[in-house]
Amino acid sequence: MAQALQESLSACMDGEAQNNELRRVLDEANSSDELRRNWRCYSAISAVLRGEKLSSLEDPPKWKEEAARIPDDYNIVALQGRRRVNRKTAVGSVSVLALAATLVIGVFFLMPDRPDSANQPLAVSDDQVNLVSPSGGDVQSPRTSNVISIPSDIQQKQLQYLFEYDLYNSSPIPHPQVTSRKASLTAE
Amino acid sequence: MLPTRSGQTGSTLAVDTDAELVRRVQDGDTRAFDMLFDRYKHRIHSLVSRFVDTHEDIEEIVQESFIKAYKAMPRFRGDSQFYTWLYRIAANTAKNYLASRSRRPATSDIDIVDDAAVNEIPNLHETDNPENILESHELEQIIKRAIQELEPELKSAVTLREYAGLSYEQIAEIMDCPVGTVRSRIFRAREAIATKMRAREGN
Repeated sequence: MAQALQESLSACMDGEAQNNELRRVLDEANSSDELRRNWRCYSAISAVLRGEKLSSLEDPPKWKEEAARIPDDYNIVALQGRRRVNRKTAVGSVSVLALAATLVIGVFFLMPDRPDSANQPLAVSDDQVNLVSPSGGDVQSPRTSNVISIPSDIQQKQLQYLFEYDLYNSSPIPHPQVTSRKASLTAE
Repeated sequence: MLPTRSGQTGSTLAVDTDAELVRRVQDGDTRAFDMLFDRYKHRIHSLVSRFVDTHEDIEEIVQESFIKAYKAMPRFRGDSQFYTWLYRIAANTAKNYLASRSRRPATSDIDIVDDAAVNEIPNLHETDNPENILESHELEQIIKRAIQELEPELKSAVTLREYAGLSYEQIAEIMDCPVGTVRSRIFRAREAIATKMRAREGN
């Protein structure tokens, strides 16, 4: 192979060849195994000088045949990809969140004796709780005027339930549905 | 622009060789892609070895990355340098490969339309052959020795080009000689090393 062509090949490696020179070398490389071998040698020399590890891959594969194995819609380029989310998990999470939100809102609006949120504090301390009788009279004197009132009949029902539970059961507190069934059986 | 150790000087000429090769590949010239493969397989090998330990896996990923690049070549518009584009493919291939190997879902930076496609790509070559590993190590030693034995001006020229990534013009300024002389020295340095590589192949 002419030395001039080899020198052109070396310049092509460095991107320092003139355009016509580059085209001539690449045209020649299509038919010259020797030029291809030199290109491979020069590439290995460059790699060692740059401190890279040498690949032991020798002959390139048949690109067309191997590329045909990859699906056409295969996304092979993007590096910063989207984190894949399992669709079932996503739908499940959204459903649970929606259900929880509905329950919270529902309980809030349907709760009997719901205080007027515009006039009540978001939280009260123990000493702000005021018990009132069913007739409306105060059982305890409030320390402040802005308090949540718990009707005394509800407290009475709670105490009655706990008393009955202690009297008839030694097992843990049952599920509410079981309790209601027991209550209905008792009533019968 | 300051050059980098990787050899990219920012010179548009350096891009032109790749651009011309890419253009030829897009026109259906697979031998042009062979040249891109020979040119960048070592650099991609070094990149992948940061993610993967075993030689067998590294070589498989390197090859797979090039196959993917070839497949996607019609869509490469040249907005970035070819190597930058190839680098992204290789890094992504390595991460997906690790994810598929461990049978665990990918944790980051993976954008694959169909994970199953990764497993459809077979082992293309037996790359775990210890002889291959030994040969590449031996070749590396031969090149290093040959570099050490170069005449000082040849060694300086080729080192400034490859290690420091300087252009011929910059090297000419440093060595206080014409650009043509730099070009000739770099070529002679490469030929001196290549001669020793060929001698090994002949044995």
